[in-house]
Amino acid sequence: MKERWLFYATTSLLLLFLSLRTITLITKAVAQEEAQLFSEITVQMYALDPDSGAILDTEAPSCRVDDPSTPQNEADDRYGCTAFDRDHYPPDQVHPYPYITNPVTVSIEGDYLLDVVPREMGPSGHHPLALRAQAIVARTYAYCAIHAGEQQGEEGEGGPYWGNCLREINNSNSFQVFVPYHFDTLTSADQQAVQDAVAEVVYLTYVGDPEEPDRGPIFTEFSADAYLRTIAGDYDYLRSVEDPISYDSAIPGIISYTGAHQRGMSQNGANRWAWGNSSQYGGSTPWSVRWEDERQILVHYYTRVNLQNAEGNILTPDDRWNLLTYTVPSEMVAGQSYSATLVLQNTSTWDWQPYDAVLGYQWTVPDASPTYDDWQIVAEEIELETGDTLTTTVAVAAPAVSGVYDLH
Amino acid sequence: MSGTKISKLVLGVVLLLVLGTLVIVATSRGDLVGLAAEVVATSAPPPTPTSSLAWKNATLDQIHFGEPKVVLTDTPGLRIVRWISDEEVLILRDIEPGRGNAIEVFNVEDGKVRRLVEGNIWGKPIWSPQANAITYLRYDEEEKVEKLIWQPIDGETRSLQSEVVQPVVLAPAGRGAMAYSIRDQVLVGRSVVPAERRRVELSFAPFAPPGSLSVCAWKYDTAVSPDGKWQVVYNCKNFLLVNSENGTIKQLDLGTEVIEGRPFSRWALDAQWSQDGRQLAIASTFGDFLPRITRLLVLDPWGEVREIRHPPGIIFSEVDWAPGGKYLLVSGLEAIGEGTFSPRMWLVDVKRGRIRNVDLLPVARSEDPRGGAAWSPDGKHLLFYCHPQNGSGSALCLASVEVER
Repeated sequence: MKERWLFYATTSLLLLFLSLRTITLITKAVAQEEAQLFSEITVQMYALDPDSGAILDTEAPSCRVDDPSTPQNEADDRYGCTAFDRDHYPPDQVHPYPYITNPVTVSIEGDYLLDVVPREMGPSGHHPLALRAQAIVARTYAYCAIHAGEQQGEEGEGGPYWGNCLREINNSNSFQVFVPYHFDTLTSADQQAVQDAVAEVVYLTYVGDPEEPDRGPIFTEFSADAYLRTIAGDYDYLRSVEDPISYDSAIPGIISYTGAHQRGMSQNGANRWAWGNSSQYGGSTPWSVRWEDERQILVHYYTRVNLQNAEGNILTPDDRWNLLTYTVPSEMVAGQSYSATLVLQNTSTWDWQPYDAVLGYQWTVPDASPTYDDWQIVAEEIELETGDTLTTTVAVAAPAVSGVYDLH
Repeated sequence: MSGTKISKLVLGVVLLLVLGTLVIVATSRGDLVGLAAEVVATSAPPPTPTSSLAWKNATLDQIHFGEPKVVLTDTPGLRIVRWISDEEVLILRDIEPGRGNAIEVFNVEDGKVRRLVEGNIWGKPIWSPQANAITYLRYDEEEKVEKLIWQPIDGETRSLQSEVVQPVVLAPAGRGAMAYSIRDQVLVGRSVVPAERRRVELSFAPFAPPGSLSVCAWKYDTAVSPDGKWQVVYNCKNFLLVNSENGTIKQLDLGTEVIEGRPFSRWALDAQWSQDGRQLAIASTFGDFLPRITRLLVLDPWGEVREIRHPPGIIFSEVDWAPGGKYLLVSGLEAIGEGTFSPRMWLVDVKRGRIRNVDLLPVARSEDPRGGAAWSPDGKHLLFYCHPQNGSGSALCLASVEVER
């Protein structure tokens, strides 16, 4: 009787391999000529409707500043002008509008993002990785608008917009909801989560034509949710991408109620990828893949982009991919061949042409890193535009000796 | 003639039997059901007037609104508290910036406004129909504390308690008021009508306002049943039924919404008793999402929380009953674009779940979304915050209401 060896492949630790021309997943720091970094943002402040986050529908929605020439404290105490508003707090606990001007110029890192990030994505129940992605997206969104303000050029050109970036930055849901003191209403644990999320000052840029890179901050539209795939926006980096983890039947309802436009990063989707779960709250329906780096989330939802830091260094490699889902047997018979189905996304900054990228696999002992050699090539003629996904079934031969292995 | 009388008698007996059956059914259910049954059994609704019958028999399309007229301008920072008669409305108005606000009685017939008090008033005043008085929290600038104030419409103003916060509830028989003392963890106040100043107190520690680290912070709202016996007191954590007479407080469960496996408890944005005190309409939400996802709920006479479904993209934020307990006026927002909303009003047939737009003048949004519209008690008028067509800004508008027979 032919001897059969049974071994186990630990698919929970599965890392599938995609070999590229010059594979490197190590952070690559490339100094750029045009580092875009802003330390302050000027925001027009309004009282907000507490049910929608929109500018209050009233004759005088602008937040009033304190008039020091009168004994009364005239600073605005409506919601939106402050989180400690007159409706939710007794008069002696109200903290009125804290600034002496409107519009107000505030520190992006020390003030603005601390209030914006938890209002746009409440820290409670959300994964830290998704919160970090949200912080980067929020920072980039702000940078884009500031950048727009600096590109005004001829008077009136482009109206209220530069590209898709509004020239007037306000604190309502038409931009990003910024309510002074919102951070102070959080628990200390949530405050820490927000501080951790915004700690690294990085933002997203568009690669564009590699010969003439435009390193300006991108228009990071984001949306509460997207069902199965996102919707394309007005820019190359806002392509429609598959989001198979967002399949729950409740999602269309969420989209309807929140008016989610489904362009750019899906906030709930970001949480699903971070939890590795089809529930945005990490419920009981695990997904086959869990991402462990916020860059995976960002390059998934934004196409042909890079992450850049304060020094102008690029923190994302040009060659990259995301595994969206896979089906591989958890147990195999030694030496036998099995089918593995993969859904891969080209998240590189460039389109794959045949032989540019190849697909292969390698077995290692648990937790070991794969070597550069010893890959079993299963597909070489891969042609895939950046942002697109490839669903493929390949043959994988089990190791000849029984044991526990990781499949890369 | 005699035939008509016999018919009325038979109808009355049938109604009694039906009501009796409902009470029996209700008391056989759970805690919430038992409470609701108690409300049904002990409420003493006023005799149903002819106009209420007309409301009950009307279909949604048989309710007509007249041409609205502007009745009050210069209204920034104004919210409608409630009608206190068929002609008079309590309003809360911001006065000059930094000078607090004022409670006023506005007469829609002659347009006169009578200011009852001005100062730093927190939250909406509560109306006691039994005592013809309002009660509210006011910040005392000299003593630097919030005080619970009792103010008859035509009588002497009294301070009932110092160092208190929301909620404010009426004392038994609407003859005084209580508010929450953080120090003592009780609702405390005084009964002041007719003359004695008796201390009243109610344990409230389990339901204390959560403070800063919560969506609702220190906010609590109160809705008083028409006979004053029942009050619901609610914030983002609790929805409480208070029996004003025996001082019991029971927590009601508005239900849970599950999103992708995570449960969120519903909480009330606004609640109002029907005129017969047997139903409670609730504009509810859950979590802390922006824009809010809302649900319209009705706690019916047999103790069930029933949801009236509305189309997506609508935020129902305020409820107000028409006479007869069949129709609700709902105010809120309708999404008209990404992140853009338009204030709207809807008429809702509670039993059939049908919804109709109320297309009057463009509706405005009050600075407090729970204060934008209200029916008069006789159902003949609708007062709402509006954008007049002939000018800019916002105003209070009055539309007549007719029920087709």
